[in-house]
Amino acid sequence: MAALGQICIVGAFGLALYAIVSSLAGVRVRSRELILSGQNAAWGVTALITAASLTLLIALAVHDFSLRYVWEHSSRAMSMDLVLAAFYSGQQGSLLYWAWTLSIFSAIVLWQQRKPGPHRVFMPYVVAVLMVVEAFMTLLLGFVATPFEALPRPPQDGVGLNPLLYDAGMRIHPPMLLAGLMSWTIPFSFAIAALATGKLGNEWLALSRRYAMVAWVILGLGNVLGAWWAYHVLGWGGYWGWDPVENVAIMPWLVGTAFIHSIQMQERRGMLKAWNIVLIMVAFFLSIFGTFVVRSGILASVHAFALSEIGPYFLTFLSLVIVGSLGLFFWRLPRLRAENQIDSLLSRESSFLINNLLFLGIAFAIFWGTIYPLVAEAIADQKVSVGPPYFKQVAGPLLGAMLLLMGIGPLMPWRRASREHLLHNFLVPVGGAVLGIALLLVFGVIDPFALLGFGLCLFVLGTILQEFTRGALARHRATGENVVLALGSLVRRNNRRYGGYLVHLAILLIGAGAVGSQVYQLQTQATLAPGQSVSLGAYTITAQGVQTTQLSGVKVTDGLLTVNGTDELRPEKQFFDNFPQQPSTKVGLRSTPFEDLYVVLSDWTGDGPTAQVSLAIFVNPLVSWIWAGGVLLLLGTLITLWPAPAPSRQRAMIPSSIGVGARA
Amino acid sequence: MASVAQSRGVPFGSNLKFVVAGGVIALAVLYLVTMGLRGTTEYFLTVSELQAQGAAAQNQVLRVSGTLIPGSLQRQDDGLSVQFLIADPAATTPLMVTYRGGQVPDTMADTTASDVEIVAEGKLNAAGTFTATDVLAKCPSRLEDATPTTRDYSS
Repeated sequence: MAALGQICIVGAFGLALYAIVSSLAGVRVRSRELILSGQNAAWGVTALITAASLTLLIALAVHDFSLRYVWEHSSRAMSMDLVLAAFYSGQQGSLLYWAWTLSIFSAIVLWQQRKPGPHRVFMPYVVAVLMVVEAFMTLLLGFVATPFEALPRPPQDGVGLNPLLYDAGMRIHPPMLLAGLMSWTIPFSFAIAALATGKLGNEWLALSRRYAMVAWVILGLGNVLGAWWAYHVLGWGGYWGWDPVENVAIMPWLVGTAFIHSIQMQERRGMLKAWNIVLIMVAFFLSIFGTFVVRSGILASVHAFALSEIGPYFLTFLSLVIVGSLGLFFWRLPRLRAENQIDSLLSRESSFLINNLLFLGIAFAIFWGTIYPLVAEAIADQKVSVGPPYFKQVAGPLLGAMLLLMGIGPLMPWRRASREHLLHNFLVPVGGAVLGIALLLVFGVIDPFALLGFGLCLFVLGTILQEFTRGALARHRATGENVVLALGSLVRRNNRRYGGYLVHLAILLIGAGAVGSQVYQLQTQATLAPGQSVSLGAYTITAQGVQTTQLSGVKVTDGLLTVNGTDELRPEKQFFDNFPQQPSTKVGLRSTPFEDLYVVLSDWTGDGPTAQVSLAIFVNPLVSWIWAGGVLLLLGTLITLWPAPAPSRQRAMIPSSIGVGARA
Repeated sequence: MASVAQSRGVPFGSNLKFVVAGGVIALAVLYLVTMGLRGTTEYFLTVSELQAQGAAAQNQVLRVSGTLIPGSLQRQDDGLSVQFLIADPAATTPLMVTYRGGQVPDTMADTTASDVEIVAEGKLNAAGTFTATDVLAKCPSRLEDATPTTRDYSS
C-alpha cells in the first residue's frame, strides 16, 4: 500500500513537471502535438493523484495500520463514514485531498474547454499554471509530508480520531473549506493565461467567471459550515470566534467577492481591467496563504514555524508565485488601460468601486489583525494577542457600510443617476426602513447598534423586494402571465441579476442573525439538584438528574432537563473509549425561527435521577437565520450559474419550481 | 498638452473626486485598524514572564499561557467556579488560576495528559492568583492545528 501510494505521488510530480515544460514549449515552437501532449500529461496527473487518494482511502477502510497516517487518525472502533473522513483529518491527508480536488477541477476545465475556439490560445498557459501548483503539492506529498509513511511493525489498533471531530459537521466542513481555498486556482490560471497571451479583453473573464462563482460558493459554504460546526460542537454559545483559522478562510472569500462584483465593470464598461487581474491574484495568494496557515500552525507563534516541516516550502512557493505573477502583471500593465471613465459619483460604476474598496479594506483589517501578533513578536520581541474585540470593532462599521451599499448599488443606473431616478428607486425602501425602525422602537428595541443593523437590513430588504415586484409586474403586464409565473420567468430569463439578489438576501439573513445574536444573547450558569429550576428569557429549565448509557465505543451522559414544564432537553457529554479523559460536548438545542435555547452540560455529581448538574445556558436570538442564509446562498448562486435559456425555448422551459424557490 | 489627455478621453479633473473618495475609505480603514489595535491588544505572556514582571503586571488585562498541571483542576462547592495550576519549564512556581464561568474546555478534564496548553485571559491580583475572565485550551490535536503531533509509537 505504502509503496503504491508513494509511486503514484512521485509519478504525478514527474508528469506535472512534464506538462508544464511541454505546454510552454508547445506555445514557443508552435507545436500542436506538444501542447496536446501537455494536456494529456495533465489528465495523467489527475489519474495518478486519484489512484493515490483511493489507495489511502482503501488503506483506511481495511484498517491497514502499517501506514503511520492510518494508525494516527483512525481506529477499528470507528464507524466507516468516520474512518473515511479521517482521510482529510490530518496534515498530510488534507494536503492530498487539496491536490486531488485540484486535479479533478483541472480535468473538468480541460473537458469543458476541449472544443476548438478562441479560448484555445489560453489553454497551454492554464495547464501550465495548474500543473505548477499541482507539482508543488505533489512535491510536498512525495518528499516532505507524505501520507504513505510505513511503520516497521504494524500495530493492532489505531489511535483514532480526536473526539471533537466526531460530528456530522466534521464530515462536510473541512473538505468544503479546503476545496473552497483550492478552487481559486482555476480563475487565477485564466488570469495568468490572459497576461501571458496579451489577450486582456473580456474573453478570460467570460471563461473564468463561472469558475470564480463556484469557488466563491464553495468557500462561502465552507465558512458557514465551519460556524455551524463550532456552534454545535464547541459549546461556548457562539459560532464565530475570529480565530486565525477562521480569518484566513474568510479573507480570500472577501477578495473573491470584490472580484465577482468588479468583473461586471469590465464586462459592461471596459473598466478596471488591471484591478480585476490584481483581485484574482490576491484571492489566489490568500488561498495559498490560508491553506498554509491552516496546515502549518505558524500563527500560534513564529516559533511554531520551525516545528512545521511544510512551512518553509509554502513560504518559498508563495513568494515565487507572488514575484512571478506581479512581474507578468507589470510587464502587461500598459495594455490594461480602461476604455471608459466613471462619469458620476452617483452611478453603478462608483458603487462598484466603493464596494471593492470596502471589501479590500475589510480583508486588509482582518489580515493585519491576524498577523499582527507575528509582526509584533518578530520586530519588537513582544508577544501580544489580538482578539475578537479588535475584529468586532474594526469589521463592524465596515460591514455596516457594506450592507448599506448592498441596498444602494444594485439600484444605481450605469453612468449617472438623475434626481427622478433616485426618488423613484429609493423612496419606498427608505420609507420602509424608517417605518420598520419606528416599529422596532415600539416593540422595545432600543439598542442603537441593533436599530442601525436591523434598519440597514430592512432598507436592503426593501430594495430587493421592490426589484422583484417591479420586474414581475412589468412582465405580467407585458406577457399576460399570472404574477407567480411572471416572477418565475423573470428569474429564469435574468438569472444572473435575480440570482444575485437572492444571494444578497442570503447575506441579509446572515447579517440580521449576526446582529440579533450579538446584541441580544442571554447567558447564565446554574447548578441544580433534581427538581430545582433556573429561568432565562422565556424559559424555565428544571433538572431531573442524569442518565448514563454505554454505547459501542462511547459512553454517553445525558443531563435530563425539562423546559417550561413539558419539553425535554438532553445536553450530552460523550466519553470515547479511545480518549476517556477528553469528553466531547453535545449541546442541548431547542431551535425556533426566532431564537435558540442552547444548554451545555458542564458538570455533574452523582449518577441517575438524584444527580446534581451544572449547566451553562444561552438564549441566542436569530441564529437559525444564519443557517437559512447559508442555504439561500447556495440556491441563489446555483440560479446565477444556471445556463441561460435559448430564446426560442424560453417559455416552454420555465420550471415552476424556480418561481417558488425565488419567493422563498 | 491638453489634447493628449483628451484624445484618451480621460481628463484629470473628473477622476479627482474618485481619488478623494477612495482615499477617504482607505484612511477610514487605517484609522479603524490603528484605533482597534490600540484599544484591544493585550499582552500575551508565559507564566514565567508574568512572574518576572512581579507586581508591575497586576491589575491590567492580559493573557497568560502555560501547561496545565495534570490533576490540578478543582471545582468549587458552588459547582461553577474552578481553579487550576498552570506552569512552564522556566517558572519557579505554578500559577494559580481561578475562573468563574461554568464551562471550561473539555480537554482540561484529562487528568493524564501533560500537554494541555491553557491560555487564560484576565488579571493578576495582589495575592498572586490569576482571576480569569476567559479560559481557552490550545488543543494539540485539534483538526486545524497543523503542527503534526508526533505520538509515541509503541506496540
